[in-house]
Amino acid sequence: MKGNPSDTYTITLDDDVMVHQIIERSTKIRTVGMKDPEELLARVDELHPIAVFIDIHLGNGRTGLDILPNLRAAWPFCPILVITGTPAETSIVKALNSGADDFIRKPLIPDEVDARFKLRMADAAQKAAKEVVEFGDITIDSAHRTVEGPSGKRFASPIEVNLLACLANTEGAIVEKDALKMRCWGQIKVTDNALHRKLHAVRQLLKDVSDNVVIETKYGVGFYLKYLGQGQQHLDVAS
Amino acid sequence: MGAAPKLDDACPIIDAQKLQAIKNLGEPDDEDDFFKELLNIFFQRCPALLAELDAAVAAKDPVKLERSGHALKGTSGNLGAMMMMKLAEQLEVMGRSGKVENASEVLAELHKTYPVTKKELETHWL
Repeated sequence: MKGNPSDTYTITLDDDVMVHQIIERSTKIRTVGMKDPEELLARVDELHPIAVFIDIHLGNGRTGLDILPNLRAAWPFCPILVITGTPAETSIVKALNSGADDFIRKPLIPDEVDARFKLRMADAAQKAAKEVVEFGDITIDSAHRTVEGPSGKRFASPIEVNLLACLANTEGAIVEKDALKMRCWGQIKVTDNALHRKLHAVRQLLKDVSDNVVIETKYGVGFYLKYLGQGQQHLDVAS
Repeated sequence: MGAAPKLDDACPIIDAQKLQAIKNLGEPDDEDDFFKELLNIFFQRCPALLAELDAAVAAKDPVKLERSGHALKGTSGNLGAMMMMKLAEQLEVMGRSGKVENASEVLAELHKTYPVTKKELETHWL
Protein backbone atom coordinates (compact mmCIF):
# COMPACT_ATOMS: atom_id res chain seq x y z
CA MET A 1 0.00 0.00 0.00
CA LYS A 2 1.35 3.41 -0.85
CA GLY A 3 2.30 6.02 1.71
CA ASN A 4 2.68 3.74 4.69
CA PRO A 5 5.79 2.50 6.44
CA SER A 6 6.34 -1.18 5.86
CA ASP A 7 6.19 -1.96 9.56
CA THR A 8 2.66 -0.61 9.93
CA TYR A 9 0.04 -3.20 9.13
CA THR A 10 -3.24 -4.69 10.20
CA ILE A 11 -4.16 -8.38 10.23
CA THR A 12 -7.26 -9.71 8.53
CA LEU A 13 -8.43 -13.22 9.37
CA ASP A 14 -11.09 -14.28 6.88
CA ASP A 15 -11.44 -17.32 4.63
CA ASP A 16 -12.38 -15.04 1.72
CA VAL A 17 -9.31 -13.28 0.28
CA MET A 18 -11.59 -10.69 -1.28
CA VAL A 19 -12.22 -9.42 2.25
CA HIS A 20 -8.46 -9.02 2.85
CA GLN A 21 -8.21 -6.81 -0.21
CA ILE A 22 -11.29 -4.72 0.52
CA ILE A 23 -10.10 -4.04 4.07
CA GLU A 24 -6.60 -3.12 2.91
CA ARG A 25 -7.95 -0.71 0.32
CA SER A 26 -10.62 0.74 2.63
CA THR A 27 -8.19 1.51 5.47
CA LYS A 28 -5.25 2.35 3.17
CA ILE A 29 -3.08 0.30 5.51
CA ARG A 30 -1.32 -2.87 4.41
CA THR A 31 -3.01 -5.96 5.81
CA VAL A 32 -1.50 -9.35 6.49
CA GLY A 33 -4.24 -11.67 5.28
CA MET A 34 -4.77 -15.05 6.88
CA LYS A 35 -7.40 -17.74 6.55
CA ASP A 36 -6.43 -20.05 9.36
CA PRO A 37 -6.84 -19.09 13.04
CA GLU A 38 -4.19 -21.62 14.02
CA GLU A 39 -1.64 -19.86 11.80
CA LEU A 40 -2.46 -16.56 13.47
CA LEU A 41 -2.08 -18.07 16.93
CA ALA A 42 1.24 -19.64 15.97
CA ARG A 43 2.60 -16.27 14.81
CA VAL A 44 1.12 -14.10 17.54
CA ASP A 45 4.48 -13.39 19.21
CA GLU A 46 6.20 -12.27 16.02
CA LEU A 47 3.38 -10.04 14.75
CA HIS A 48 2.70 -6.51 15.98
CA PRO A 49 -0.38 -5.25 14.13
CA ILE A 50 -1.95 -1.85 14.70
CA ALA A 51 -5.42 -3.41 14.39
CA VAL A 52 -6.97 -6.81 13.75
CA PHE A 53 -10.05 -7.74 11.69
CA ILE A 54 -11.51 -11.19 12.39
CA ASP A 55 -14.37 -12.95 10.67
CA ILE A 56 -16.64 -14.75 13.11
CA HIS A 57 -17.48 -17.54 10.64
CA LEU A 58 -14.34 -18.86 9.01
CA GLY A 59 -15.76 -21.80 7.08
CA ASN A 60 -15.50 -25.51 7.88
CA GLY A 61 -17.16 -24.79 11.19
CA ARG A 62 -14.27 -22.75 12.55
CA THR A 63 -14.89 -19.49 14.32
CA GLY A 64 -12.75 -16.47 15.02
CA LEU A 65 -14.37 -16.16 18.44
CA ASP A 66 -12.32 -19.01 19.87
CA ILE A 67 -9.03 -17.19 19.54
CA LEU A 68 -10.21 -13.72 20.57
CA PRO A 69 -9.15 -14.07 24.24
CA ASN A 70 -5.68 -15.21 23.16
CA LEU A 71 -5.32 -12.24 20.82
CA ARG A 72 -6.54 -9.81 23.45
CA ALA A 73 -4.03 -11.19 25.96
CA ALA A 74 -1.20 -10.90 23.43
CA TRP A 75 -2.16 -7.46 22.13
CA PRO A 76 -3.90 -5.67 25.03
CA PHE A 77 -4.06 -2.27 23.32
CA CYS A 78 -4.63 -3.33 19.72
CA PRO A 79 -8.13 -2.63 18.35
CA ILE A 80 -9.87 -5.87 17.38
CA LEU A 81 -12.83 -5.61 15.04
CA VAL A 82 -14.93 -8.64 14.25
CA ILE A 83 -16.58 -9.11 10.88
CA THR A 84 -19.97 -10.75 10.81
CA GLY A 85 -22.38 -11.68 8.07
CA THR A 86 -24.84 -13.26 10.47
CA PRO A 87 -27.78 -11.30 11.80
CA ALA A 88 -27.60 -13.17 15.15
CA GLU A 89 -26.82 -10.61 17.82
CA THR A 90 -25.57 -13.32 20.17
CA SER A 91 -22.35 -13.81 18.23
CA ILE A 92 -21.66 -10.06 18.29
CA VAL A 93 -22.29 -9.91 22.03
CA LYS A 94 -20.04 -12.94 22.51
CA ALA A 95 -17.32 -11.32 20.43
CA LEU A 96 -17.48 -8.08 22.41
CA ASN A 97 -17.38 -10.05 25.67
CA SER A 98 -14.39 -12.02 24.44
CA GLY A 99 -12.24 -8.96 23.87
CA ALA A 100 -13.37 -7.42 20.55
CA ASP A 101 -13.68 -3.64 20.44
CA ASP A 102 -16.17 -3.31 17.63
CA PHE A 103 -17.82 -5.15 14.74
CA ILE A 104 -18.36 -4.66 11.03
CA ARG A 105 -21.20 -6.23 9.09
CA LYS A 106 -20.94 -7.95 5.73
CA PRO A 107 -21.39 -7.02 2.95
CA LEU A 108 -18.50 -4.70 3.64
CA ILE A 109 -19.03 -1.02 2.90
CA PRO A 110 -15.60 0.60 2.37
CA ASP A 111 -16.49 3.93 4.01
CA GLU A 112 -17.91 2.14 7.04
CA VAL A 113 -14.84 -0.09 7.35
CA ASP A 114 -12.58 2.96 7.28
CA ALA A 115 -14.73 4.94 9.72
CA ARG A 116 -14.86 2.11 12.27
CA PHE A 117 -11.14 1.50 11.88
CA LYS A 118 -10.28 5.16 12.46
CA LEU A 119 -12.63 5.40 15.42
CA ARG A 120 -11.05 2.39 17.11
CA MET A 121 -7.53 3.61 16.36
CA ALA A 122 -8.40 6.95 17.99
CA ASP A 123 -9.78 5.12 21.03
CA ALA A 124 -6.66 3.01 21.27
CA ALA A 125 -4.41 6.06 21.11
CA GLN A 126 -6.41 7.75 23.85
CA LYS A 127 -6.29 4.61 25.97
CA ALA A 128 -2.56 4.19 25.42
CA ALA A 129 -1.95 7.80 26.41
CA LYS A 130 -3.59 7.10 29.73
CA GLU A 131 -1.70 3.92 30.26
CA VAL A 132 1.31 5.45 31.89
CA VAL A 133 1.03 4.68 35.57
CA GLU A 134 3.37 5.83 38.29
CA PHE A 135 3.77 4.03 41.57
CA GLY A 136 6.42 4.97 44.09
CA ASP A 137 9.56 5.56 42.08
CA ILE A 138 8.62 3.44 39.06
CA THR A 139 6.77 4.28 35.87
CA ILE A 140 4.82 1.62 33.98
CA ASP A 141 4.21 2.41 30.33
CA SER A 142 1.68 -0.13 29.09
CA ALA A 143 1.62 1.17 25.53
CA HIS A 144 5.36 0.71 25.10
CA ARG A 145 5.57 -2.18 27.55
CA THR A 146 8.31 -0.67 29.67
CA VAL A 147 8.90 -0.37 33.39
CA GLU A 148 11.35 2.29 34.52
CA GLY A 149 12.80 3.14 37.91
CA PRO A 150 15.94 4.59 39.50
CA SER A 151 17.96 1.46 38.72
CA GLY A 152 17.04 1.23 35.06
CA LYS A 153 14.44 0.44 32.43
CA ARG A 154 13.11 -2.97 31.41
CA PHE A 155 10.84 -4.19 28.66
CA ALA A 156 8.06 -6.48 29.79
CA SER A 157 5.78 -8.98 28.11
CA PRO A 158 2.14 -7.89 27.55
CA ILE A 159 0.93 -9.99 30.46
CA GLU A 160 3.69 -8.80 32.79
CA VAL A 161 3.03 -5.14 32.07
CA ASN A 162 -0.72 -5.70 32.39
CA LEU A 163 -0.24 -7.38 35.72
CA LEU A 164 1.95 -4.63 37.07
CA ALA A 165 -0.30 -1.84 35.76
CA CYS A 166 -3.32 -3.54 37.30
CA LEU A 167 -1.63 -3.64 40.72
CA ALA A 168 -0.34 -0.06 40.38
CA ASN A 169 -3.75 1.29 39.38
CA THR A 170 -5.22 0.25 42.72
CA GLU A 171 -2.55 2.35 44.49
CA GLY A 172 -1.60 -0.28 47.01
CA ALA A 173 -5.00 -1.88 47.58
CA ILE A 174 -5.25 -5.67 47.41
CA VAL A 175 -6.22 -7.10 44.04
CA GLU A 176 -7.93 -10.45 44.33
CA LYS A 177 -6.27 -13.37 42.61
CA ASP A 178 -9.16 -14.04 40.22
CA ALA A 179 -9.51 -10.36 39.32
CA LEU A 180 -5.83 -10.27 38.48
CA LYS A 181 -6.18 -13.35 36.28
CA MET A 182 -9.16 -11.84 34.47
CA ARG A 183 -7.31 -8.56 33.86
CA CYS A 184 -4.24 -10.31 32.49
CA TRP A 185 -5.58 -13.32 30.64
CA GLY A 186 -9.18 -12.33 29.91
CA GLN A 187 -11.47 -15.34 29.70
CA ILE A 188 -8.65 -17.83 29.32
CA LYS A 189 -8.59 -20.15 32.31
CA VAL A 190 -5.19 -20.12 33.98
CA THR A 191 -3.92 -22.05 36.98
CA ASP A 192 -2.66 -20.50 40.18
CA ASN A 193 0.77 -21.84 39.27
CA ALA A 194 0.75 -19.88 36.01
CA LEU A 195 -0.15 -16.72 37.91
CA HIS A 196 2.60 -17.33 40.47
CA ARG A 197 5.17 -17.94 37.73
CA LYS A 198 4.21 -14.64 36.13
CA LEU A 199 4.32 -12.84 39.49
CA HIS A 200 7.79 -14.27 40.05
CA ALA A 201 8.90 -12.86 36.69
CA VAL A 202 7.43 -9.45 37.53
CA ARG A 203 9.15 -9.44 40.93
CA GLN A 204 12.47 -10.10 39.18
CA LEU A 205 11.73 -7.30 36.76
CA LEU A 206 10.92 -4.92 39.61
CA LYS A 207 14.23 -5.72 41.30
CA ASP A 208 16.02 -4.61 38.14
CA VAL A 209 14.44 -1.18 38.13
CA SER A 210 13.88 -0.28 41.78
CA ASP A 211 14.68 -1.46 45.31
CA ASN A 212 11.64 0.29 46.68
CA VAL A 213 8.61 -1.27 44.96
CA VAL A 214 7.61 -4.84 45.72
CA ILE A 215 4.65 -7.11 45.21
CA GLU A 216 3.28 -8.42 48.48
CA THR A 217 1.06 -11.45 48.94
CA LYS A 218 -1.96 -11.55 51.17
CA TYR A 219 -2.40 -15.28 51.43
CA GLY A 220 -5.78 -16.57 50.43
CA VAL A 221 -6.85 -13.10 49.27
CA GLY A 222 -4.65 -11.57 46.63
CA PHE A 223 -1.72 -9.30 45.92
CA TYR A 224 -0.79 -5.66 46.27
CA LEU A 225 2.00 -3.33 45.36
CA LYS A 226 3.98 -1.72 48.15
CA TYR A 227 6.29 1.28 48.07
CA LEU A 228 8.98 0.94 50.71
CA GLY A 229 10.15 4.52 50.35
CA GLN A 230 13.41 6.04 51.41
CA GLY A 231 15.20 4.43 54.33
CA GLN A 232 12.92 1.40 54.49
CA GLN A 233 14.16 -2.05 53.74
CA HIS A 234 12.15 -4.78 52.14
CA LEU A 235 12.37 -7.91 54.29
CA ASP A 236 10.73 -10.09 51.64
CA VAL A 237 8.23 -11.38 54.17
CA ALA A 238 4.69 -11.75 52.99
CA SER A 239 1.92 -10.26 55.07
CA MET B 1 -39.38 -19.61 3.85
CA GLY B 2 -40.98 -17.86 0.88
CA ALA B 3 -40.51 -18.77 -2.75
CA ALA B 4 -37.06 -18.31 -4.21
CA PRO B 5 -36.62 -14.94 -5.91
CA LYS B 6 -36.76 -15.15 -9.70
CA LEU B 7 -34.49 -13.34 -12.09
CA ASP B 8 -37.21 -10.90 -13.04
CA ASP B 9 -37.99 -9.95 -9.42
CA ALA B 10 -37.38 -6.43 -8.12
CA CYS B 11 -34.07 -7.53 -6.57
CA PRO B 12 -31.30 -6.37 -8.90
CA ILE B 13 -28.65 -8.74 -10.24
CA ILE B 14 -26.04 -6.16 -9.30
CA ASP B 15 -26.35 -3.26 -6.90
CA ALA B 16 -24.42 -0.72 -8.98
CA GLN B 17 -23.87 1.67 -6.08
CA LYS B 18 -22.33 -1.01 -3.87
CA LEU B 19 -20.13 -2.34 -6.64
CA GLN B 20 -19.00 1.15 -7.67
CA ALA B 21 -17.93 1.81 -4.05
CA ILE B 22 -15.72 -1.28 -4.25
CA LYS B 23 -14.41 -0.34 -7.69
CA ASN B 24 -13.53 3.12 -6.40
CA LEU B 25 -11.11 1.54 -3.94
CA GLY B 26 -8.71 1.03 -6.83
CA GLU B 27 -6.05 3.69 -7.17
CA PRO B 28 -6.05 5.58 -10.47
CA ASP B 29 -2.95 3.84 -11.75
CA ASP B 30 -3.99 0.31 -10.83
CA GLU B 31 -7.74 0.48 -10.68
CA ASP B 32 -8.24 -2.11 -13.35
CA ASP B 33 -5.84 -4.62 -11.83
CA PHE B 34 -7.31 -4.36 -8.35
CA PHE B 35 -10.87 -4.66 -9.56
CA LYS B 36 -10.06 -7.40 -12.07
CA GLU B 37 -8.37 -9.33 -9.32
CA LEU B 38 -11.46 -9.08 -7.12
CA LEU B 39 -13.70 -10.27 -9.94
CA ASN B 40 -11.32 -13.13 -10.69
CA ILE B 41 -11.49 -14.21 -7.05
CA PHE B 42 -15.27 -14.11 -7.34
CA PHE B 43 -15.26 -16.13 -10.58
CA GLN B 44 -13.00 -18.75 -8.99
CA ARG B 45 -14.81 -18.92 -5.68
CA CYS B 46 -18.42 -19.11 -6.91
CA PRO B 47 -18.18 -22.38 -8.88
CA ALA B 48 -16.39 -24.01 -5.95
CA LEU B 49 -19.06 -22.85 -3.50
CA LEU B 50 -21.87 -23.88 -5.86
CA ALA B 51 -20.30 -27.34 -6.05
CA GLU B 52 -20.21 -27.47 -2.25
CA LEU B 53 -23.88 -26.51 -2.15
CA ASP B 54 -24.72 -29.21 -4.73
CA ALA B 55 -23.01 -31.77 -2.50
CA ALA B 56 -24.75 -30.47 0.62
CA VAL B 57 -28.19 -30.60 -1.01
CA ALA B 58 -27.56 -34.06 -2.47
CA ALA B 59 -26.50 -35.30 0.97
CA LYS B 60 -29.32 -33.37 2.69
CA ASP B 61 -26.62 -32.00 4.99
CA PRO B 62 -27.95 -28.87 6.74
CA VAL B 63 -24.63 -27.99 8.38
CA LYS B 64 -22.73 -27.85 5.09
CA LEU B 65 -25.67 -26.10 3.45
CA GLU B 66 -25.51 -23.37 6.08
CA ARG B 67 -21.72 -22.98 5.87
CA SER B 68 -21.45 -22.87 2.09
CA GLY B 69 -24.57 -20.72 1.82
CA HIS B 70 -23.04 -18.30 4.32
CA ALA B 71 -19.75 -18.15 2.41
CA LEU B 72 -21.47 -17.54 -0.93
CA LYS B 73 -23.71 -14.91 0.64
CA GLY B 74 -20.63 -13.06 1.90
CA THR B 75 -18.63 -13.19 -1.28
CA SER B 76 -21.62 -12.19 -3.45
CA GLY B 77 -22.61 -9.39 -1.13
CA ASN B 78 -19.15 -7.88 -1.19
CA LEU B 79 -19.50 -7.33 -4.93
CA GLY B 80 -23.09 -6.19 -4.76
CA ALA B 81 -24.34 -9.36 -6.46
CA MET B 82 -27.68 -8.99 -4.73
CA MET B 83 -29.74 -11.75 -6.33
CA MET B 84 -27.03 -14.31 -5.65
CA MET B 85 -26.65 -13.00 -2.12
CA LYS B 86 -30.35 -13.35 -1.39
CA LEU B 87 -30.53 -16.89 -2.80
CA ALA B 88 -27.42 -17.93 -0.90
CA GLU B 89 -28.89 -16.46 2.26
CA GLN B 90 -32.05 -18.53 1.78
CA LEU B 91 -29.91 -21.65 1.62
CA GLU B 92 -27.99 -20.58 4.70
CA VAL B 93 -31.23 -20.06 6.65
CA MET B 94 -32.61 -23.40 5.44
CA GLY B 95 -29.46 -25.10 6.63
CA ARG B 96 -29.52 -23.35 9.99
CA SER B 97 -33.14 -24.32 10.59
CA GLY B 98 -32.52 -27.89 9.37
CA LYS B 99 -35.20 -27.56 6.68
CA VAL B 100 -33.48 -28.71 3.51
CA GLU B 101 -36.57 -29.99 1.61
CA ASN B 102 -36.88 -26.95 -0.68
CA ALA B 103 -33.18 -26.28 -0.98
CA SER B 104 -32.85 -27.88 -4.43
CA GLU B 105 -35.33 -25.38 -5.89
CA VAL B 106 -33.40 -22.41 -4.51
CA LEU B 107 -30.10 -23.94 -5.57
CA ALA B 108 -31.41 -24.41 -9.12
CA GLU B 109 -32.28 -20.72 -9.17
CA LEU B 110 -28.79 -19.90 -7.93
CA HIS B 111 -27.26 -21.97 -10.73
CA LYS B 112 -29.25 -19.89 -13.23
CA THR B 113 -28.36 -16.62 -11.54
CA TYR B 114 -24.60 -17.10 -11.41
CA PRO B 115 -23.98 -17.08 -15.21
CA VAL B 116 -26.24 -14.04 -15.58
CA THR B 117 -24.33 -12.26 -12.82
CA LYS B 118 -20.98 -13.24 -14.33
CA LYS B 119 -22.04 -11.97 -17.74
CA GLU B 120 -23.25 -8.69 -16.25
CA LEU B 121 -19.94 -8.18 -14.48
CA GLU B 122 -17.86 -9.07 -17.52
CA THR B 123 -19.94 -6.99 -19.92
CA HIS B 124 -20.55 -3.82 -17.94
CA TRP B 125 -17.87 -3.70 -15.27
CA LEU B 126 -14.62 -4.94 -16.74
